[in-house]
Amino acid sequence: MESIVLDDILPFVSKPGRYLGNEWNVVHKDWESAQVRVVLCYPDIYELGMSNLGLQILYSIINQRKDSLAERVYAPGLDMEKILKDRGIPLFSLESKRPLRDFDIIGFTLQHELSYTNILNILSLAKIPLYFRDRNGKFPLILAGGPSASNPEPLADFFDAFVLGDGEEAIEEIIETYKNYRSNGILKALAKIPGVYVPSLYQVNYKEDDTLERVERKEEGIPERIEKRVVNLENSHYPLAPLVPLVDISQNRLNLEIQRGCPHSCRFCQSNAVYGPCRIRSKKRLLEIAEVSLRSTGYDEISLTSLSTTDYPGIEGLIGEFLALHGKNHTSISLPSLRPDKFSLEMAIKIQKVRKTGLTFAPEAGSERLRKLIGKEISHEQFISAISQAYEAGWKLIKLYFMIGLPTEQEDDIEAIIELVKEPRNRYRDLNFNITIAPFVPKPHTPFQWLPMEKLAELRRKKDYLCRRLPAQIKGHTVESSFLEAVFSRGDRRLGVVLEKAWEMGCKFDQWKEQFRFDYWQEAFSKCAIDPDFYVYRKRDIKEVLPWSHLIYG
Amino acid sequence: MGRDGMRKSSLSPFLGSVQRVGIEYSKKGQVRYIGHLDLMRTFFRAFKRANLPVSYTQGFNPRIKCSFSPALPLGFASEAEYMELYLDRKIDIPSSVDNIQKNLPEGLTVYSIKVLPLLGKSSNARIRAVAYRLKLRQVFRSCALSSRVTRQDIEERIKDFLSKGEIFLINKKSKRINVRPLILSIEMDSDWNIRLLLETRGGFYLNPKIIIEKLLGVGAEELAFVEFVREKFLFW
Repeated sequence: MESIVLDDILPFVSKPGRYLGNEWNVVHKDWESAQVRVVLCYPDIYELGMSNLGLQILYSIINQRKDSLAERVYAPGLDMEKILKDRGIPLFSLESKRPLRDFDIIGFTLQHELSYTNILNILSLAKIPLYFRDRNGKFPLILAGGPSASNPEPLADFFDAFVLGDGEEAIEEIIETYKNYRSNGILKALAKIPGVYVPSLYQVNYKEDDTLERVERKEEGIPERIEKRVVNLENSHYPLAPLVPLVDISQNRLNLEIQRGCPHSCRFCQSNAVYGPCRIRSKKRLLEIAEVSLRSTGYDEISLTSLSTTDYPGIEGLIGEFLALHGKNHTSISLPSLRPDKFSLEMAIKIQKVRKTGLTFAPEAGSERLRKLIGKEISHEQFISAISQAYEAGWKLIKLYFMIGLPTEQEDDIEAIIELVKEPRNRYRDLNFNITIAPFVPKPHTPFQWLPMEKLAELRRKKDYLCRRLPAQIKGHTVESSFLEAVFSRGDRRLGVVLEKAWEMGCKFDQWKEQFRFDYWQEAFSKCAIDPDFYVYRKRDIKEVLPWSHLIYG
Repeated sequence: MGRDGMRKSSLSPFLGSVQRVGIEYSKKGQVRYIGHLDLMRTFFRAFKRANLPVSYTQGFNPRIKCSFSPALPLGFASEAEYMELYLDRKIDIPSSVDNIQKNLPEGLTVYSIKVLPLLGKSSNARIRAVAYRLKLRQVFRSCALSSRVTRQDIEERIKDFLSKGEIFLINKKSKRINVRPLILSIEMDSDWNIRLLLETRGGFYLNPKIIIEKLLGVGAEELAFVEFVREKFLFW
């Protein structure tokens, strides 16, 4: 199939810069000489997808190989989708503008459950059958990895395989395996790669009460339980010439992953299971990466990313040396969400000398009691003094993250959120807060995985109350979208049909408030005769076989 | 971004800078879908990759001291873009052209770099008129006009159009304005290239697309395939 001519399309879309594939450091490899052609897909809009580090790493690893090429695709905007449909143009890659179905492998990243309808939409726009069983090996292999692969069961009928855990090494083994077995027994060969889960080779049996009886492998020679991959971070591949977008994106800066995993083990947090164990890159390696990639990208801001950046051993020295090397060159550092302690703030203040960047704290819960219960042990005083210190240092806007509906939560825990915000707000009249309130979703592979989620009506009431009482701007998804997140993060294979039904009814970009149609979703559940409450509100028995019990993240 | 930087440093724009250069470049191909702010950022990153000794403004939020030619509408090509840039060190001009060029994405081509007086005003303040060009290709003529339309027909229309004393447009504030005085000339050559020369007043740049819509009686949809080129700036 010929590549698509963009000039016929771009004058008619609102953000044509998304579809050009002309980023700095973009790789255009010769199509014919590549044995394995991969297209990597972030199933949301370009501006979000381009900010994802994981896909940049895979892009770099695959393109470094002589035998393969990697290209990219993101979810097209609604205006672009309409043009593709009206003109019958199949969804194409950004680099060579070839239809997705010309590739050997399509690799999706599963960042969150609300992107699942986008995946179906992308496959459909690419004119690829949604269901694994309808593809008969005549289409590209559809693979996925990323945090939500930790329970991929609701997607089991659509995908050929999932990669659990770190992808750096697995992707190379997948490519090697593909070369050897592409025409014969590829699925079984893939299933033998550590960390690769081929759902069609596993049989799920249910009990009468609709819980799982057991998950069995259908063939000998593949593992009964699949253990996630863990790489040696220090030696693992890191892109030194990452793609630099020409249009603005949500994280428009150089990402430097200094640590993977987290030294804390907050009990609600799934990231710990997904990204752990806690590993660091050495200061020496990080300074090398920064040096080379700042030069190759021209970025003037570098983000030291990790789940808990100020816990990096020797973070002070790292920042100090970094500023000494690059500060005079007008390069600034930014830190993701900080722990509200004195040490973290001193870091932030030091960084601010170069350029003012935002400040984010995640107390998660309002009361000390509840914070202790979820494993986030920060005292009220610690928190208040951190905010005071930040204010004195010149910050006038602070972002805060809270969860509602945490286990054992009482009214006074909700009041405590208000107190926590009001106290500094009353003291400093020109200090403003941006507050995100998210309902707690008990996630797989966490100590809370057996718990029910709090009822929607309760969550709504609590959120409305907070919105009225908090002297701040409140952000966050609707509680209904968290309900859906709970269904699909905790669900099993029977949910595939619901996903398909909701997508058929027009659900996509569910993460975007203005696109989210909870009424469609409710209708889809009822049409498929599946009760979502079974997945969301039911307390699991500790002995219950969970849909993700055969996937080992511990 | 850049213009902001200029304003802040307008009291002593040369503070710390030892050289001011004018960079002339073209914008063609797919980068014409990159908007003004994105284009500025793209240049700043190119300068950083090229290790160019650009000057920064003083203060809390240091910015690169430079000014760009007026924003080009999305989708327009240009043969006449420029920017003026302050530098902390004098640069070697010929090698800098190559150095910047190899750090720019395809579609942005540096024609020349010229040393400007350190104390001069930004060229943007001296723009008198802007020349644009577009080509009425056969496909466009047969789709949007008539396959039998002749050059004489178009020339007639141009003549009629220009003979009007008033041509009204609705501006962004929903105000009716007469733009006829801003149209200095419209001409067509033997190759179906239409050239417009549009005067600029008080920082207002008339979009030639709107004039062509009026002139030919076609909609924005039909004009979407027609590539507009900014050909030249005329300065006072």
